[in-house]
Amino acid sequence: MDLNELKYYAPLVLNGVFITIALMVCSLVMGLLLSSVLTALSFLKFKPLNFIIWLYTFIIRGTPLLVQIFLIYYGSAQFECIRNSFLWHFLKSGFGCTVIALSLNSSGYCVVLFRGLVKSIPQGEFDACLSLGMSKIQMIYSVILSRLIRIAIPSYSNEVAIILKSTSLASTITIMDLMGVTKFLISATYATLPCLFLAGCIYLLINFLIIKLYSLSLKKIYTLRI
Amino acid sequence: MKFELQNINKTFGETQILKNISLQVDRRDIVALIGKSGSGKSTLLKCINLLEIPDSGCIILDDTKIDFSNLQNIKSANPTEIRKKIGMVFQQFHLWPHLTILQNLIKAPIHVLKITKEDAIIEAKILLAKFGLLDKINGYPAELSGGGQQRIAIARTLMMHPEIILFDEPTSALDPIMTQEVSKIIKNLASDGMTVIVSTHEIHFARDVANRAIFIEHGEVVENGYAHDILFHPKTQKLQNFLTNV
Ligand SMILES: Nc1ncnc2c1ncn2[C@@H]1O[C@H](COP(=O)(O)OP(=O)(O)OP(=O)(O)O)[C@@H](O)[C@H]1O
Ligand SMILES: [Mg+2]
Repeated sequence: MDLNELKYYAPLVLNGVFITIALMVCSLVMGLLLSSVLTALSFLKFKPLNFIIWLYTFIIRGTPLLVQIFLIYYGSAQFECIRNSFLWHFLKSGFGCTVIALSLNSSGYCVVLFRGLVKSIPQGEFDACLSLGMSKIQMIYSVILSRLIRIAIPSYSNEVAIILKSTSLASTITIMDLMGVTKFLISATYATLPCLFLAGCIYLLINFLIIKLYSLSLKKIYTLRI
Repeated sequence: MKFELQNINKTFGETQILKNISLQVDRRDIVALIGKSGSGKSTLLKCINLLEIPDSGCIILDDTKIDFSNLQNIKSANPTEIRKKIGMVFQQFHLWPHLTILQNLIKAPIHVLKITKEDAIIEAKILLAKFGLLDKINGYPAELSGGGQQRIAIARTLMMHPEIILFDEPTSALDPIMTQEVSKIIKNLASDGMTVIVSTHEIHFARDVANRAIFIEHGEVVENGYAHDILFHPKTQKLQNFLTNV
């Protein structure tokens, strides 16, 4: 692979990087929403609901992500009712399927993480809210949520890194993300090692940028004293 | 103001922690709740604040009466209404560590009493100035000494203008000079019209602040009456032992 060839393929690679980042951001946002809702529900102390959430995290964490992606991608088309529902807008594209699989997967892990973090807050801080006459909802949004965000940010960085790397599985269902493009380049140029090396470097670079962004935002949070 | 406990019972698992506790309190009273470690003082205060729900008995506050014997659930007791009138200063203060001193003070009045942020800040500044902590307004709880944190905890409770304020062992972490400070603060609260119930096992402190006293052992009231009678002339052997041993 000479320099000219590289120039020729650069837009393709850039496009792949863009899709990888888009997959990551969409999955993170949806995963975060889903896990926040599930975490809140799990504290309602309603036993059947807690069992369902436990089963959910058990299945999600106990099965390979690749199996989940295939199940959603190939499985959803099998059902008439799914093809007729609004969900089909997402499920008919590989991109949508990957985002759904990744956000479900991430939420399975995050619910467990968030529950642990909530439990690590001393009971006395909740008691203080209640003793001042706050309702549970007032307690959550005026005191506990900001407390939780602060203690969650450091441990959540793991999740971001894991999702970034997991997006590479999208290439197995025809998505031309960074990994998809790499596979294509390998078959077009037969330069297997250079292509994989390049892809690895780009993933590393994205991760490095994320870590930088992360520590910057952490600093902001602590100096702004939100 | 009228405040009364009638036959409060509370069990944790198999053990009965509070047994038939009754108590009547008048406005501006300072009631010392004395007893050994494990006698149930904190549990009783938490029951008054409805952070623990008694198994049976009644709490009467002004026109509100909660009968715990036939209580379907805690919601039907409308706990926030009681808690708005009864403040509590915890033994470990339980300030919110991630919020500044100012935010610690204004959160509850803004969200519960629905006063404006501006008004809340003015009020917080007045209280902080009174406690000599105005320069710490933008600091964090961890930056303060134990005594400072306690005064913030008191100020946070006062921001809600409670009728009754409960103190759980306010002197346990303080040196003698700070203990006198707390005595002064508590006496001032009573002369401002508030009613105070304070748990302690320090007899000097109880003798100094209280006009009423109640001695409990193993969750049972042993003596209950005027502080002077109880703390200087105990009738029962149990209380005599307690007074001579601490
Ligand atoms: N949540 C709980 N579950 C089970 N037992 C409890 C609980 N809270 C308190 N107890 C028990 O109730 C008894 C009374 O505790 P409490 O904290 O009210 O005592 P106290 O008089 O405040 O003691 P101290 O002076 O040490 O603070 C203790 O034996 C304690 O072990
Ligand atoms: Mg106690």
